[in-house]
Amino acid sequence: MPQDPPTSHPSDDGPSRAQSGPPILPRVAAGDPEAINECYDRFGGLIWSLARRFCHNPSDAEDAVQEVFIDVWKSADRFDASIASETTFVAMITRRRLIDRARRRSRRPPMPTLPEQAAAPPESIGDAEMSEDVRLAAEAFEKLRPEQKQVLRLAIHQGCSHEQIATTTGMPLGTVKTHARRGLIKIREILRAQGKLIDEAGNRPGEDEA
Amino acid sequence: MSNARPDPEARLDAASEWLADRALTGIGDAAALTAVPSSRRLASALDESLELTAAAVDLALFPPRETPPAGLRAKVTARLERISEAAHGSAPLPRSPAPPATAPLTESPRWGWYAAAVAVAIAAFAWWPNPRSRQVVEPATPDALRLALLETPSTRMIAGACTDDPLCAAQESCGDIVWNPERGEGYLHLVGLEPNDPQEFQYQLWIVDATRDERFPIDGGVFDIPADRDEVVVPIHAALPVGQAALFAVSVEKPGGTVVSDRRFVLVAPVG
Repeated sequence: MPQDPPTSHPSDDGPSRAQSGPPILPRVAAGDPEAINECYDRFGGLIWSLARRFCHNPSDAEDAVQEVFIDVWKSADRFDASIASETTFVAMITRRRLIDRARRRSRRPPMPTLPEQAAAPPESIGDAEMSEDVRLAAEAFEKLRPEQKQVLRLAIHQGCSHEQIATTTGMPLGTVKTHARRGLIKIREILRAQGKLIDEAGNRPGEDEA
Repeated sequence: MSNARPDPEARLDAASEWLADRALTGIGDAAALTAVPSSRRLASALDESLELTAAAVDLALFPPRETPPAGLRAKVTARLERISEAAHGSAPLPRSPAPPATAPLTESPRWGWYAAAVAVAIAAFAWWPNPRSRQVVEPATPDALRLALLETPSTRMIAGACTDDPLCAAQESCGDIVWNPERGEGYLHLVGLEPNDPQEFQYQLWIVDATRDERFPIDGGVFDIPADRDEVVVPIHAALPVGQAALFAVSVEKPGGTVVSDRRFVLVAPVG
């Protein structure tokens, strides 16, 4: 059953606060107990929204959110504000955990039921609270070829396998792999050209030995 | 032609493609990883830039708009408070000696003696008459010890990416590592990996230590997956002290394991 496009407005517990306020992950890394509730305030909506998309039911999503928060708590010391925003960093940890859970749960994530309009970015980008790296990612995504966009939407939405995307789109498997990889790499390079995903010393993570 | 040196750009592409697969699906293509020179493999495995890219695109395309249920805050904060309290002064959980593993771990002779000594000590302690109770101390299962370790400070859970090796059951297997760097204690958790015949081959865990030469990863032990088990928890017994775990990997090796891996990986788990 297709998911409805997101139409609800952020509330106090919602995700709108994810992009605002002073940095909190350094306080989390320092073990500040006062940061617990603030961390939930800031990222609860973000993590919950992602969990609801990846998990089959609310109960599973609640379990996932708890696991993700523990991951965030234990990974906070790795956060580097010069590389990415807190929101993107937390979203990365969340996606990693949810993809892992989806594979563990069913070994086969459900086929995507993504309506095209749910993937259309114009209404969702440009919000004042959107972090800069997310805004740049949205712009970079628009520069991709249509086929790359189609494949990446399906891959990113629920962590669908290349095989599932090939079945959904009718593209050959090798073509799907190429579009997914090249599309994502191209976005990264555009972000790097804008000074993102590069640490303060100018290093590009993973390429320092090239 | 076969003697030609690989094109450096091609190497970078191989690494990036492997990372892109991992960022999008959680699965890295084994062939792509194998194509990455060993000198770059560690740096590649630690590279989160494409995962961050995927996360940023995710937020851009599908902005989070849902509100968490009312009761979730209490559950999350309770767990985090427990972790925070444990990290600030309360007595840490006693370190449990390695119990019989769900998947038996084969160790080198040197560590075999140590394990035997520990086992004797455990047995002696477990059966020592207790004036206050005659209860027999049941050894905790690896799964229970893994969960207990997960609740202790400094412990991390590291998601593993299975490769496309046929032993990964058509890419449906997965795994994770629970690792506490302060204790040097951890557990490998695998789901869906094909059972092995120990006479034909065995699985072997490797730990890349960032404080050591990457070319010589630490042997984490040889283990089997019984035919009747879809899910196993294997205690990690590093053959050497681990300074800073950077990458865990499971490979397929000849019976008894090896000191130099054939690099047929079935699971890779960068610590990040």
